[in-house]
Amino acid sequence: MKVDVAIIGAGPAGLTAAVEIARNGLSAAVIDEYYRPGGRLLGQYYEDPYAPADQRTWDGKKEADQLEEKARSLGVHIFMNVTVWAVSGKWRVDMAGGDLPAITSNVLLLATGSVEKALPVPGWTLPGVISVGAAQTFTNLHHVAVGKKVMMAGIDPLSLSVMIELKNAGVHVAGMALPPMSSVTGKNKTPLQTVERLQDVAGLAPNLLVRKLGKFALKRFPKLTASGLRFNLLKVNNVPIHLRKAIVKIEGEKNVEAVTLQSVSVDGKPAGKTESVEVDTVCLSNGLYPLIDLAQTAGCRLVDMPELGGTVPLHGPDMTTKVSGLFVAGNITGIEGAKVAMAQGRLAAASILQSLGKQAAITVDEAMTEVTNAREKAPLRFLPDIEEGRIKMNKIWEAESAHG
Amino acid sequence: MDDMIICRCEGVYLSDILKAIEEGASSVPGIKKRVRAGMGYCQGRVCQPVIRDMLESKTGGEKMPPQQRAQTPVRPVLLDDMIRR
Ligand SMILES: Cc1cc2nc3c(=O)[nH]c(=O)nc-3n(C[C@H](O)[C@H](O)[C@H](O)COP(=O)(O)OP(=O)(O)OC[C@H]3O[C@@H](n4cnc5c(N)ncnc54)[C@H](O)[C@@H]3O)c2cc1C
Repeated sequence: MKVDVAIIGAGPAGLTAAVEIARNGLSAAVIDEYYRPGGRLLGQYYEDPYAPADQRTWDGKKEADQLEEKARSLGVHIFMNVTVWAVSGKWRVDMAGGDLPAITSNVLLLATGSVEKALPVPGWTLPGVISVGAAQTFTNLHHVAVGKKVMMAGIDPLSLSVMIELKNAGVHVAGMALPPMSSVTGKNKTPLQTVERLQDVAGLAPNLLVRKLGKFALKRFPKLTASGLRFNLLKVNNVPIHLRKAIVKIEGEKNVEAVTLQSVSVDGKPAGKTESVEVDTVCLSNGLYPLIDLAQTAGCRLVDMPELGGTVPLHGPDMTTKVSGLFVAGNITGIEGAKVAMAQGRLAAASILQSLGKQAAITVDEAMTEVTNAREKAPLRFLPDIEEGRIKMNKIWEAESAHG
Repeated sequence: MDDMIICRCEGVYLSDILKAIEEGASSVPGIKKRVRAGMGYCQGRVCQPVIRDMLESKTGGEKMPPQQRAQTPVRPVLLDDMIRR
């Protein structure tokens, strides 16, 4: 099979791009190794307080279904349960798991999304320990309760969001604690830094966090914390958020039976006693990072950019790369929410259409503005310095372009 | 500190990795060549970011410790799939 555009990843970025490309008269194929289109959309279900009144509930499954239907009605080829294991030439996409061994295309769009960063803590390989993403998928996609009594470790925008989702589904969450304070798990997780990040989730639990502290207080939270971290314990949806306790160990013979928590000082040093809390499930959260493997094998230069969540392919603000015929969109360019990924998918499509000399319904400039708008209205902010990261990337891109 | 597995595919422990760092490993490939972390089924998808954090905090240089290169095939595939090519 030969198509104009081959798209790897049927998440919001890839599907939105496919719709836009097909709508403007080009052929597109989307390939994904999961059994169902939608990527990370499939696990998302929450209130979006910034959306118009009639769209407050963000139902990712519904969004995914609508995108799939639109794509199929426009003749987009969708390959599910198919893994792309190589990309080469311009372009050949090698696939495993389906009937076709490969497809060829003029343009390749990588929309492979992001994956979770592990959070090792003694006992983390025991049955009953799961990642926050698994908890989200079990709860919202499969409607399976992950356990009877759950402790979450890692207090960040995603884990807070999933905690609320678990509670809404009727799962008993015993509490949330800080990740282990060790060099194994990286930095930036002290009580002080954790509290600073809480303002990024104010949108998700506005009536809880903001009502309690006031929007104003949240903005000044860092100062409050510096003066002694007054809020050692916060309750969100009735779940205790232990801002001064870190998980140090998960215990159990064959399964999770308990977790050990250690009190820590504001700057993350052990201080005082440890305690054991009986739980049967532990849910670990340590952030996300872009999945760039195919970009690297396609010859794209990679840039280390912690502000964007890790190592990302060098790309322009219009989703082009320095490899001709290669484009990127979505979380592969940096960790953000689903609506940003969709806007980036549209933008990549506009750039692709332009590169092939096609008239598009939306111009590249308009599509870039939509990405910025989506970013400003995002209910969930995964990284505190995302804008800075985007600006830095654009600067590197410009410098590289000046060299030719 | 309690020991624990860091690379789940190859069963490599924290103590193995710390020892490799002591022996002079300063990059993810350096660790990998010494103790096989990142050489299994997931090709470092789980352990590489963790090992990189460990290296960074131990060696603490200006630059982030080098990572391993993704290589084709980027996922485990059957020989049959490769032959069909
Ligand atoms: C655990 C987790 C939870 C998240 N929760 C939220 C949330 O609650 N709200 C929110 O707004 N955002 C959330 N996100 C961020 C999420 O990444 C974005 O919302 C959005 O889904 C990104 O879209 P995307 O199209 O870039 O990637 P994705 O939605 O991740 O889709 C990428 C797709 O590419 C496929 N793929 C990758 N490599 C290959 C290959 N080699 N062969 C075949 N297929 C491949 C994957 O199977 C996947 O379906 C979460 C992300 C993760 C990882």
